[in-house]
Amino acid sequence: MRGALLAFTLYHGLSMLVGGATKPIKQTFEWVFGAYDQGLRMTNAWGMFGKPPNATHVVLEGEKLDGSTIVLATTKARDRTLVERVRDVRIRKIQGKLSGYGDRSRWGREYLAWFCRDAAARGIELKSVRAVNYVHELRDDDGGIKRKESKQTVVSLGCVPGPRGAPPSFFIAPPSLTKELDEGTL
Amino acid sequence: MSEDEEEPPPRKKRKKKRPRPRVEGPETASPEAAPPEAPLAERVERRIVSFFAVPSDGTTAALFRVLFGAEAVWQAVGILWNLDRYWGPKGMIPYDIVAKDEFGWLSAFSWAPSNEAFVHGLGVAFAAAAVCLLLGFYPRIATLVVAYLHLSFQFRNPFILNSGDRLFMIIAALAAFMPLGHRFSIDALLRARRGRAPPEATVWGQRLVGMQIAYVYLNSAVAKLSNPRWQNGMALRDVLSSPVFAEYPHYVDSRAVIYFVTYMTLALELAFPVLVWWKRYRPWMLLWGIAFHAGIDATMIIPIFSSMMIVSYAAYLSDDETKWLLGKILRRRPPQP
Repeated sequence: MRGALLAFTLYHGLSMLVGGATKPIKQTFEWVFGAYDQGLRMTNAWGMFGKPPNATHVVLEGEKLDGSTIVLATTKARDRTLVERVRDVRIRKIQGKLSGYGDRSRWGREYLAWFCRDAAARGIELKSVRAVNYVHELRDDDGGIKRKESKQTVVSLGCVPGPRGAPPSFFIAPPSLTKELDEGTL
Repeated sequence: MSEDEEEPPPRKKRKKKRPRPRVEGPETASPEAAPPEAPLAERVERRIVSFFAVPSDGTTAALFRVLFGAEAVWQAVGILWNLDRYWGPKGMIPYDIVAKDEFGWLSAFSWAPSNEAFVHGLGVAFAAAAVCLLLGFYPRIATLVVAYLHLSFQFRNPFILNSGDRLFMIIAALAAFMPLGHRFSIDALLRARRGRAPPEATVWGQRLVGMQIAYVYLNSAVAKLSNPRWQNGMALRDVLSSPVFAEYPHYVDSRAVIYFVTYMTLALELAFPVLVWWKRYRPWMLLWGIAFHAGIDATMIIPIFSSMMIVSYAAYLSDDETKWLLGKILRRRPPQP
């Protein structure tokens, strides 16, 4: 029993070290620790702001049939009520990913479609839903402006069918529009 | 020579008497030391075993269980509240999107991904396991169920996860090595009624959790040290001005303040993994860590992680330290062994 415990401790300890190491090291030992890392997810790299934070706010806006706009979900915690802050604590993570092309092209349409359905279930008729990326201002260490504030729609989806029964409109911002954000150079 | 000169000052005397720091607390059982003539491998093995196999009466494990159980219950509230939209078959992320994951078959969701009742069942099972863990009803099984179901939820929707989630699941799995139900638990109550003594236990699981937390800090420090912003002491200016992560985003213009908070962060992450194992420094490391994470929780919007770290600190305490702490908190004498 003690031998098995010792073996597990050794294995976990080594996998912990490898799991937090650089990619080449992880790849070298993938045959030993791959399943433990990616399957059982028992290891991780703990960067914790090792790189300056690059995330931006993404707000999901719905356009009603009368043309008015409502906020359906926001990553801005301070814009939420206390209950919403607790309930939506994970929204920042998922919705913020829409600023990256890889994620929004993979599941952006389905994500927005859920908000169309949810609004309809709550009796709110929406014409369309869009995810807007609010790129905040960045300053250098001397206070000079490094990046200006801007906003852009990164993905949008119609909630009602198009003319003559055409599928709902869908737009996805190409990677070139959000290149700097995708590459983390902004 | 006067009398005063002959006698060493009392302060110096105390210093001389202070024992050298040891990895194990003085209250821990002495390791079965290998004779010097024993082979190196045997001596190393005995040394490792002496670190991990210190007997425990389960008091610290019980404190850890209650704190971690409360964390698990809180996670369960979040899961049940958001079950349909994050993990449901008609939720934000259809199962098809995550179905191709190489290890997706490990997830319980792969058994019936489009069955709403099944998904609800998983949510209820997670909540039930979390409550069992908190109350100490078959807590080692409960913590494994919590870990496995959390892993399943992670596979089903990986887009909502942060480091705190990963840490929660790892700690839940490692906690199965701790004597979670030996004290202050339903298991202990049932055992006492039957007149049975708890089985022998060691601090092995505690050490595993302790090592994990120490590594989180160390790994984080290494990642930071390679970045120029951390090297020049300005990294926290970026972090505290981020409107996404900072509760009150603001560019702090005082370099002295920014240098202080940046380098203190690095100092903690480098010092904690080493010094927390020494009984003499442990209280200071834990207090520093609690203050650090409380500061993060007050100024940043980073869910789960800080509370997970603080909860896991319990694993560093020896049984005697836990009894002393509980005695102080409950304002009564610690229970006699």
